[in-house]
Amino acid sequence: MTPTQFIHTHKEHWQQLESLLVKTERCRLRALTRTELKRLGQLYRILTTDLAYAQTNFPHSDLLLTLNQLASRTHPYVYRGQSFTFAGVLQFFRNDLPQTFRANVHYFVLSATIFLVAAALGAIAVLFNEEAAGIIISPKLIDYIHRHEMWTEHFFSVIPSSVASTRIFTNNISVAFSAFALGLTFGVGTFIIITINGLMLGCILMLCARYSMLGPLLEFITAHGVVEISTILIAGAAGLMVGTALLNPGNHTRRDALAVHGADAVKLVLGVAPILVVMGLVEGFISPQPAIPAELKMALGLFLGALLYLHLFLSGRKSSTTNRVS
Amino acid sequence: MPLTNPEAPAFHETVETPEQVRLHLELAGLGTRSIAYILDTLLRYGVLLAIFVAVVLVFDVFQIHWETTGDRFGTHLILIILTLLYFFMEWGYFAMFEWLWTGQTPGKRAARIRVLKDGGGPISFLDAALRNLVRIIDSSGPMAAIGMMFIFFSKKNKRPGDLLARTIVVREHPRTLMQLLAVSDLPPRIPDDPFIDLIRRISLTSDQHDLIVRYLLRRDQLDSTTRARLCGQIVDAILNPVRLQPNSEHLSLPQEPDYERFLQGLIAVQAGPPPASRP
Repeated sequence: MTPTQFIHTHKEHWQQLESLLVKTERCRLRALTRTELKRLGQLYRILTTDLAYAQTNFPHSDLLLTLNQLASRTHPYVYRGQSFTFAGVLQFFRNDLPQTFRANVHYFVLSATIFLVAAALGAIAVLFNEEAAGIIISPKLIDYIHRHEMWTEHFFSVIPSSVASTRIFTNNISVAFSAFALGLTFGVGTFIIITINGLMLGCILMLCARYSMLGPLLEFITAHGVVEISTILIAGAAGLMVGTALLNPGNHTRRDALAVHGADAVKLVLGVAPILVVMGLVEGFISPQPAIPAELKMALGLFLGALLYLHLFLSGRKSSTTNRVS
Repeated sequence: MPLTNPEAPAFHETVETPEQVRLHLELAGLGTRSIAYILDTLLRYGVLLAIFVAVVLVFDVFQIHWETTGDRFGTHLILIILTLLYFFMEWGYFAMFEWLWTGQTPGKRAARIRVLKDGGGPISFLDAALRNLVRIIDSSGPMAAIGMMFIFFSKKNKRPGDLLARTIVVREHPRTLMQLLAVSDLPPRIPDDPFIDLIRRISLTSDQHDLIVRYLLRRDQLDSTTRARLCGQIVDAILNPVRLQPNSEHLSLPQEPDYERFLQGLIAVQAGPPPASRP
């Protein structure tokens, strides 16, 4: 059979497939009716048979090239992975996120240790020499502390809570995403982000303590701080996972280790993002609110923190064992 | 002489489908990917800039200063939307489009490239997020140099994000089927073809077939001298073996003005009923 004869006998199938494909590419698979969807699968299988025939009989031909391109365009639509459903998202936060966290809890411990050591170093530095705070904290903020004023009061008197919340959580999610992505610098960038955040907290705490501002500061930060810092540390852990894959790939090649650790790490950092949205709202609406008593804010902070860790350490245990059994 | 050889190993990824058929995917190069990225970036910041300028102008006209005017005209809502939009353009744009458009963004669609899993399948939401969250390391601003070096030097044109998510970026050529069919739809002229006896004696190789088809498709874009010269060369190449055959003296060979008609007839006859049914 000549190429042209082959084209003539089979072209109707290809044309049909292409028109379905164009429709799909324009408006996703949902645009197809049930029969069209079924037809897409059938036509794709017919095409692969034609492709196999062309590979044997017309190597190096335009015909082969064309069929190959048509098939490779259709392939990703025919073999789709799991689609995104509400139940799937729920399942992710209920089981996947805590399970992934527990499987990689040592990275979280490492991330938290770096943070606490940095905070302690920052506090000690300021304890011995107050000027040291100037290295890491903006001079404006230091001025507020010197005047025994909470800088947050000024900030929230100017910016409405709704706008402030949005700015806070978009900024925090950016930090979390960056801490993860910087893992590709062999973990150095992630280490620096965690360290800077630790140093800042240590310095501010100690500086406030020296100017007897610790009370108002703790009143402001506890409601959101416990969970917020924890989530940044989880994102840091995700970055450290990527960094470790590059530094010490173990039994894998670096390339494989990167893909394996990356798949887990991205779950952690994506799982953390919605929590940061909620914490941004708490920080914008509850933390700076003078009408709410300090005790209540602290209780809320501790409650949210406990909720986070209970969820991360206890949720999805059952389903992980059933998975292993089956 | 095919323009692109589908069997060539370089810059290609071979994928075995569940039907046991090998698919050859052409990997997108540095140039195409850069074009797609530049288009996407222009779109992202173009939209942001347009909206930002519009908001500033409207605020100016209505004498709104958001710190003093308070929440008149939904000022706060506008500020919130602007913040979210900026965040989306920075972190969400690529991941969302690649997830919703099965591996494509507006820029990738314009440049005709697509992100696929290593095995040729579609990428999931997590893959899209993974390969795009690390853009601050390998493709935003000056960091793009790192991504470009990776794409240029790595075996399968992968930037770090592709290594993490196990993805490849492939080229697509959506118009070729129409071209192929355009030629096979040439009007058949078998019954009255003056060279029918000659044509029946010729069996074209698949390379010769492609050559004629390409010539017929593009002849209108050639100037008349080149067109005549090319046509003559092709006809000579096909007729030379026939001239050497025994009993070829009494065949009427086509002369200069009939060359194109002869080639058309050749392709049309080849498109006729197949000699034997397909195995």
